[in-house]
Amino acid sequence: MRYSRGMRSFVPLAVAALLVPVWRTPVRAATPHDNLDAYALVARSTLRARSLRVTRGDVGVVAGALRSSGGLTAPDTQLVASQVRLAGASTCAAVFSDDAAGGGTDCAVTGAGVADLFADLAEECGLPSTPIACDPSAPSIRVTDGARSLPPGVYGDVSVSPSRGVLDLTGGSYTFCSLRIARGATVRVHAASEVRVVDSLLVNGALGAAPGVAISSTDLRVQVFGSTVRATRGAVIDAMLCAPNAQVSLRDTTVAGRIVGTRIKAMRSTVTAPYTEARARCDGRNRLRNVYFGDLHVHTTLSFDAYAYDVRTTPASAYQFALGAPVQLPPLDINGIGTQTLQIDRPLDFAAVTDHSEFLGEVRMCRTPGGLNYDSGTCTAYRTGGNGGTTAIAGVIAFPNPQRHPDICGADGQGCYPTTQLVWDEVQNAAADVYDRSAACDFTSLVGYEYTASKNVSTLHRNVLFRNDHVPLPTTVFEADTREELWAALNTTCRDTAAGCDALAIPHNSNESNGTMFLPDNPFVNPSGQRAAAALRGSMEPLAEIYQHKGDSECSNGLSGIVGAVDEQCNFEKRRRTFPDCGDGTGTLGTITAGCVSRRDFLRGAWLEGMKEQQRLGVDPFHVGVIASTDSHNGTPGAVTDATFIGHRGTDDATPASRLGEGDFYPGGYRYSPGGLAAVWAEENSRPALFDALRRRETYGTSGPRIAVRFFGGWNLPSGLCADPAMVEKAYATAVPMGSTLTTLSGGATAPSFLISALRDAGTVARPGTPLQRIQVIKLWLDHGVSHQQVFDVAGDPNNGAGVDESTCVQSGSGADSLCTVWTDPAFDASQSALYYVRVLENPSCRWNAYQCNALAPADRPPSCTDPNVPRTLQERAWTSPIWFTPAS
Amino acid sequence: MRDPLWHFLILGASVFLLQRWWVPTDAPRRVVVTAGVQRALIEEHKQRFGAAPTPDETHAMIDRWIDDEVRVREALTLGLDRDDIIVRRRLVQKMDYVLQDSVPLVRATDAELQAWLSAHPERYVTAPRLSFEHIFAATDRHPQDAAAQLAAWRARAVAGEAATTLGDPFLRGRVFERQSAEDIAAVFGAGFAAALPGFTLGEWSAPVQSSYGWHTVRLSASEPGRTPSLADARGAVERDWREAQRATLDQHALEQLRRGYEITQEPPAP
Repeated sequence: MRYSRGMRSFVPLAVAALLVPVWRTPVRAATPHDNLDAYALVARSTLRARSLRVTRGDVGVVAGALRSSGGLTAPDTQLVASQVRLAGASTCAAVFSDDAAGGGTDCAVTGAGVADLFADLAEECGLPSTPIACDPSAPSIRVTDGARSLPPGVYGDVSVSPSRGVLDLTGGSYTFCSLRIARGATVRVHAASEVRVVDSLLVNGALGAAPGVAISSTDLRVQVFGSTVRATRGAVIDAMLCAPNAQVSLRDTTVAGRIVGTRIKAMRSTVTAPYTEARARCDGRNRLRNVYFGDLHVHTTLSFDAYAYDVRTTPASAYQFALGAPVQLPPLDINGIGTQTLQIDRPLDFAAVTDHSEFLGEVRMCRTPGGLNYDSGTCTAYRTGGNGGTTAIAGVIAFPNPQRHPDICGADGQGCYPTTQLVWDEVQNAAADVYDRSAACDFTSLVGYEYTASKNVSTLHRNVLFRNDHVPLPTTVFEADTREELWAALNTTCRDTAAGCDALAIPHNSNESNGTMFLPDNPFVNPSGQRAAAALRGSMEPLAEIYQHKGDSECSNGLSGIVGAVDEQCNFEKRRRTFPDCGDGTGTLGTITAGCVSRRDFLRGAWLEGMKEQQRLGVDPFHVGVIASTDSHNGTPGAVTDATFIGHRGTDDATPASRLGEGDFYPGGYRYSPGGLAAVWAEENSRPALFDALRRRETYGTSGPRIAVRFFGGWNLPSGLCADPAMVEKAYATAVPMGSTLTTLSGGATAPSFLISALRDAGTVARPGTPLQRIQVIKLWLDHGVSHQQVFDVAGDPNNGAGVDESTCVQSGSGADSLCTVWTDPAFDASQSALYYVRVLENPSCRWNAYQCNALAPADRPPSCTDPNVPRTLQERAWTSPIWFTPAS
Repeated sequence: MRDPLWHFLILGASVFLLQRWWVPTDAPRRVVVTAGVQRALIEEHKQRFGAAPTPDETHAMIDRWIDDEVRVREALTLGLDRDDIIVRRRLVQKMDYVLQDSVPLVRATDAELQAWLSAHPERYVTAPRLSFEHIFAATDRHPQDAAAQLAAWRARAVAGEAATTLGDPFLRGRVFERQSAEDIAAVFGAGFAAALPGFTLGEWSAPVQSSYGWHTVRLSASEPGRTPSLADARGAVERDWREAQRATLDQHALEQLRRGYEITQEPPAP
């Protein structure tokens, strides 16, 4: 039977309802947690409670007493304090204290207390070490009635009173002398925000995200430097509140977030931490953030296509590969063991196995002899493998309204869910096993999958990544045919549930999407709801993959719609070199490199389109930062070295001849490449720290090398920053990092200035890193609705004379170990929307195909080894997330 | 394997299989469509088409099954299964499943895991780790005299000046906590990583060169490598134990089976 249109919209919900109970309960060891991510309430010296309910997260007192005079209800919470006194009936999961009394059987002592739980509470919760002062010249804001919208900036005292007053924070960084929210009044944020309060915070109304804005309470960080935080009379706080110097009083208050204070008094209140993470605090925690390198796009034998090309790498062995262990790759021997060995020379810091969610269960059923429907027509055809096998099982996803194969999953499509659950458990277990929860923090895994929407054979794929172990069953095109249905499913099965689940999606291969990946809504058709849809997209998709083995999605020459000079660096790793231009329209068949190509298939076009949408809707749906990854289908995260590239998808390209050829099913061959790495600036190498960094877009991508890049934007940055030992500390204090937005001009500046610094990859002894050639800033802006681009060389030397001999791969000439500059936009217009991102280029080196051509006898070399149109050298590079400038409206 | 239960299961499985596969060719030729076969056929139909078969469909299915069964029997009689690589591989695969199912892995006890950890400490030993801060002079910024510049900064640090105010900014950080040699090499280069363990705790070191310039390093902690406790390494130990156990069990099962055969090998053809 086929579903009617009306019923289909029902399907995601029905499936969601089915899937919600499938949480995996994390293994909770009975040990006290010493990382802040596990806590809902932390006081430095005392915490007094009466009728306090904690629904998620621990309660801790660094050095002092936790006293409850009755009614403590915290069934899943561990209590940690030097002294614990519980009067009356109490429930909790555990008590860690050397001196505890009361509590009864439902809240009994479990173990000893923790000496010095958080040595520096202020640093732990992210309060800047330099105290900030109140700016007496800053304007005070007083909202008495109605709504007022406030861009980020520095303000005096802010009060919202009495009832019905609404202050809308558009999102970004705010500094207030004090903040007072009267009863019935509301302060609501429309995008991730950091609110610094110099003096006191009084909340009798509501503080949190605006309704319909899909951001979580971790996206609103409130830092109070003063001594008083008071919330009473039905106050609602949905925020991460860090007030380590303050006496915090909560009365009749509901908190979804975390509260940190010196002394905390909580009466008749409920506190729920948004997410918790049971792990040790990382020793290497650095509030100025470290850069971590990883791979967020990796397929294993669980993916329908990888298996069909004889890839047998499991998720567990893929993670071991990321840590430095070898894997065996096709062709397989008579025993089904791979005959090629591959290993990376440096472990990664993090990785996510992201198998296609479509057919996870079906593939397992088709490869298990004797199992249900092993002999079905589809399974039999699938087992022939290769292109035919792949198409036999996956062809359905290219058509509208795709359905699961009835001969595998039954007529109602339900028969594959039990097996899918088994396979999905394996994925989660592999990630859980390899995640280093110890204080060493050597490696982080993220649970994820690839959602493989392919309508009209255009690539609309997304990688879905989860914050922690709370993970629903993957969504596929069979439950969610469109991206809107995917986001709805991620909300209903994850973000809107009470389980502490969070997810984000990363679109990739927009270069194969025929203009459809970043297609804005048609302003003339059904405009209502478009703003909410754009906001939902913005919150679900903070990043895009700029580069991977199937090519670059930064920019392409030869497309209409953007004014500016040809950028020769846009010729890098192009999937297609000749193509029809989609113009403003869209096409089909991009996945098989056919149909038209659009400027929106590349991030430059998408970013400009997003800025136009920002002007139309007030929200930018394409406000994406940047990562790169491999998209390896061999289960080989981080295998990015050109000199050792042995293909990306099993038997499909397991020989030099196939790699250097044209490809068959997909025009691939020499057009493919090893892909790149994701780089993340985070306080520590843990799931919460990495996930938060992905959310705030403090990320960049590289084409493989581990180049370190810092990029900050602000006003009047001192030119001496590059030589200042406290460069990064000062940059964080006075500017915003990559991925952020600047709004109002301040400090008398007439143009934004940027600190850009890059350090070359050290490489290894066997394969030292390549010196840097130059840093470029790319500026994109809108001038009366017209899109512009300009490329600036801001550091280094494009004519440094360095080169590489294609026939030997020997590099010549010199370059830079590091490059740094403070650069100011020479032609800034504060009335125009603009964005800036950075491209760091290495000196030229050999592309993978040069090594492989050189290894063949001249007579054996295929045409691509001599074709002048096929690049055999390249400049490896890094691309940062942008810093946007949005004029205050 | 000394466990008698294991012997029993393996022998039982073997006897059962031998009986099923080595049907004497002169046995009475009967085809029985058992109730079980009928049930399976109906189930399969339901799975495939979402509804129970009609009586006609059931009749047709059973008919087809009988045709298949007769052909399979004839094929076996003619020995068509022998020397067929696909049949052979499928049988081997099925036998592996049977063997593995007959001896499910039991959960390891703590004592077993501890014994495994003690027998293979080298697999789980943690790397030595160093914590340090450094002052950096970039070759790029001081192409002529980076070493001299570093020496000057080092002298000021030794004299007590705060390290936070000295040196060129190093993009990957100033303070590093609990780094393995591998971690350090990944950031600074292998030569730098090799030099560090020789430095004295708490003192600004002699100048040391990295991939980027000259540094002086002050170690704050040095942690030797160690074998982790079972609690710390349980995941990895359990995984390896299970893998090894599986391999041993499979090997033993094969040896057991082989023991039932007299195996001779002809000399290779000239």
